[in-house]
Amino acid sequence: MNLQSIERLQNLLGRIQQNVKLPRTRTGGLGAFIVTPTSAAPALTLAQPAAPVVLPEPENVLLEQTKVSAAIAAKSAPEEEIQVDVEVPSLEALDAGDDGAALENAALENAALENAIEDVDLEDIAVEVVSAVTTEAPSEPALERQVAVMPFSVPPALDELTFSEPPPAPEPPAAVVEPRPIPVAQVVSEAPGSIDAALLAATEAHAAAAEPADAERAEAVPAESYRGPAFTPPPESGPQLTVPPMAAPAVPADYRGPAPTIEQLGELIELEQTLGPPLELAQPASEPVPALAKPPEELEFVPRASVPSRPLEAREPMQTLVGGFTEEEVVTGDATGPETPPPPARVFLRPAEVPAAVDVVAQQLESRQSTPTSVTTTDESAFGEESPTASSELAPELVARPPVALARPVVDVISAARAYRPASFLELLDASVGLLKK
Amino acid sequence: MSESTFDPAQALKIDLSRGQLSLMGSSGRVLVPTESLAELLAASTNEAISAFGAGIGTDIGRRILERLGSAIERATIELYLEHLGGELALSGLGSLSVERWGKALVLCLEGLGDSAGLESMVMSLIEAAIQRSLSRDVVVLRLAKTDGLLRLIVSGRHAKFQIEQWQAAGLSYGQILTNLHQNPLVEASSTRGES
Repeated sequence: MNLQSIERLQNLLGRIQQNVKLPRTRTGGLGAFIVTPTSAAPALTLAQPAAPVVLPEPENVLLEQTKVSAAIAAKSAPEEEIQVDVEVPSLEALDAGDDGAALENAALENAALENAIEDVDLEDIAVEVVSAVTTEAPSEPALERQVAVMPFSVPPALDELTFSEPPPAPEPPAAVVEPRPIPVAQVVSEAPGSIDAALLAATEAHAAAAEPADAERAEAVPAESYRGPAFTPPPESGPQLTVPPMAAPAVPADYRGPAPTIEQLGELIELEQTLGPPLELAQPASEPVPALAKPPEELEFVPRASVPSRPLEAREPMQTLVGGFTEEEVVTGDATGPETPPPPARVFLRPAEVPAAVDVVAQQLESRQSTPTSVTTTDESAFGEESPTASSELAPELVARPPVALARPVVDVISAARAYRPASFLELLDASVGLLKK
Repeated sequence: MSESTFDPAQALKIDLSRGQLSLMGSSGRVLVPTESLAELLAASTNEAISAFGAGIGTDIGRRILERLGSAIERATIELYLEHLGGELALSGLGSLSVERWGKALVLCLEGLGDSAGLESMVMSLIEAAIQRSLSRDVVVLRLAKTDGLLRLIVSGRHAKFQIEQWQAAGLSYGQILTNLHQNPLVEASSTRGES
């Protein structure tokens, strides 16, 4: 390691120490990105100059920008960024330029870099060197290649949702946004042939960079995990809120959650207790059910010898004439209540109490017995079980009409005269000729 | 029974070259005015008129019998009327129809001129036609003529005198027809027939 390299490394170390004190900044566009190095994956820091890049002449040696990110783990400061810009000549530049001088310079530069890294190898500083030296020679001019690099402005690595909120306040220096890792080969190696091709390539590159975001966007965001503002996204413009299907939640069998509230169950009405003694159904005492001495299979049917009948109607003979009767003459029935009207009584005349007028009628009826009209004495049973004696002198008689002697049939059907309908002209002619014929 | 309808097609043929008329295959016909014929009949005697009409009727009866054949005895009233009326119509003697008053057969002729000679001739014609076709000796008498409709009754010769008496007595043809059916002789004969 020569003195020049040592000097450069010292300058580099000084710059690093100065940068440690500076606040962390994040710039877009062509600005440099200061990325917090992580141990999981090497972070890439694009150290782009703020001023426009002036490309060297084609005949000159093309040096690719080598990005070295050094993370200094200081005790006081947890994470520090070290930005090291080292220009390393590419192979194509070596091929295109002076072979001997270029190779020698390149070897010297590499050796200086290695020495610098070795010298800077401190215990408290962790340096990660990311070499992005391209091995392929650029087929296109450097100007176009620069255009291809320009669109790499890392989009805000926030959520995929676009918010219409005002720009956030300047973040504290500690808040460092971790950019999305971009493949180096894609960034550097592609060199479009024209401006249109460069624009197309830039568009494709941007789209390729946005593909993971789209893939994530395509995934549905659960409603419970969504914390963004409530708004209606345009159709197919972003992640959609997925509402789980309305289905009854599966309740485990041994669920011992809180009991339902009154509002959930509704109003509960308690029934009043019954008043009075409990209802008892007692068997009638008049007809007690006899205990079966024998099993039902051995029982015999024995008809009842005497059925206890209700008291029959008793018609007592009338003591007085028609028009008056005592309570004894009233037929006693089942009506026992005082308010129940008594049934009508049947009154019979006794022979001794028949008035004289009735005797006259009886004599007239007897005189008619000689007439052809048959007079028959009615049966006594027609008047009831307790009719007067059969030997009564005056008994009702039924006068029946004598049977009609049917000498001739009752119905005499006079048939209509049969209409004369001759079947032929000759028949009608003969009938007409026969009129007034003797 | 074969229903042989009356077919007047080609019934009347006029041979202009020969100056001949033929009716139903019978040649030697003459077309004369009705009035002239009526005047002729009016000047003729009854026997002449009857003979004249019977001649024409016999020819008509023969043609009817030829057309109907043996089925003429079973021919219905309508069928026989069709043939007899067709022949009268071809002769220009009016339209014939039949009325049946009980057992009395009444023929109605419409369109015949108001001429006693023509009426007598037509009655003789019908008698001859029936006698020739049906082999029945009948008498056709005039009952009445109202509104151009001449009613003729077909009876036997034994009833001719009685009907003429009733007509002379001024009885209407309805009363005459009723008397024909209420005649005790008829009733007695019918009773005997039924018993």
